[in-house]
Amino acid sequence: MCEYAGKLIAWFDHELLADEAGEVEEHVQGCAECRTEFAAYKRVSNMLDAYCEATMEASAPHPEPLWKPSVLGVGAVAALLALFLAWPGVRETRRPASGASEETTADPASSIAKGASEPIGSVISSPLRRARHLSPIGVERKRDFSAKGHPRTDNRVTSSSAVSREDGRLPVEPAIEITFPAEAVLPPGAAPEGVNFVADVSIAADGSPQQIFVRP
Amino acid sequence: MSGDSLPMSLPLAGFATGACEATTLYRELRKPLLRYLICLGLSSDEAQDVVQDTFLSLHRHLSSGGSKENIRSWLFRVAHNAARNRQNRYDRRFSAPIDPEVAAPVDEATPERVVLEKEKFRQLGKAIQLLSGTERECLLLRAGGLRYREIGEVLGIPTSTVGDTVDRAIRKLAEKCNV
Repeated sequence: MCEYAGKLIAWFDHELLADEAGEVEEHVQGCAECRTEFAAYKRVSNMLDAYCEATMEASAPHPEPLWKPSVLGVGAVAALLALFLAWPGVRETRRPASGASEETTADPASSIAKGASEPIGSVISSPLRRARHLSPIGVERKRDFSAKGHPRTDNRVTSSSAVSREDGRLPVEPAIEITFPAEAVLPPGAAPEGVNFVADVSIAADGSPQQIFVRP
Repeated sequence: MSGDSLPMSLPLAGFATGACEATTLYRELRKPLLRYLICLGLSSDEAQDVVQDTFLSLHRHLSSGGSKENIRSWLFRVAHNAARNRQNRYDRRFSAPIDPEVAAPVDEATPERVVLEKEKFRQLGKAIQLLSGTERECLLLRAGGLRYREIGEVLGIPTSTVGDTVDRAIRKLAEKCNV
């Protein structure tokens, strides 16, 4: 066995000091045995990486979301919101929030899209954004301001912080809640009239919708 | 709740401290950490939990002025120990660490190639099972992109020992898999 054989893997892993690495490199160029061994270690190493990757993918409970690209994801959510809001009857389905009036805005679709994208943008900088006190506070401040200055505030993207802060606790609900009628997603007659759904949208590290939890 | 949510137990004061570093580290290391834990034998949900707890600890560590040196090995060590504490599942790896049948090749290739790859993975899975615990952990941490020095810090062994262990483990795999 070649005396350099014991250094091949460390060399491959860039763990040798510069002069030692140079020595091994020079040797390998002239030693067929080492080249063959080195190629084998490289293959094993690559295969191990692929194996670990496959193991992780095999254990994943859910497939990757189709709308992974963050911009597309945010855009899709905004578009869906606009669609739901354009639905007749949606104006009556808002969840009440403190400090927000019940008036309808002149352009609900655009304001909801704006409302949806702003909190997303505001929390995008932190990996701990799912620690939810970050985003609701931003949203709440925004609403308070608009409630004072402009009574025609839109509360369809409701932040839970305004509600949960009333009893002095930190908000424990998702950053964005969207209420929409059951008819918007189910065929006519599938759900009793007047039933609404609330979608809790959580935002992932890369800004894509990580989890959308719909409850009646 | 599954997914990437983090529990809400952090005080607001000092929250921003270290948040930037935590963000960068989270983006860079979340996946390698998950992969390491799953390959150790944790279920996907358990691994997600451990990763969340690990980054929560990282945040506390950074916001309380903890050292930023060797932070990668710090993260892996916390995750590794958390996995170790989930003793039941962690022990499972000694009997059935990774199921090679489940781990199918990921790339879409011809049926022949898929069969061939599956066979290779099966062999590799068997060979990995025959490694010692430390050999396996060294290889998995190495696959997670850690340097020998960092692996040594995670496992609490000298760097030279890591080098020898990785060398031995790769040789064993190469021998068993006939690559």
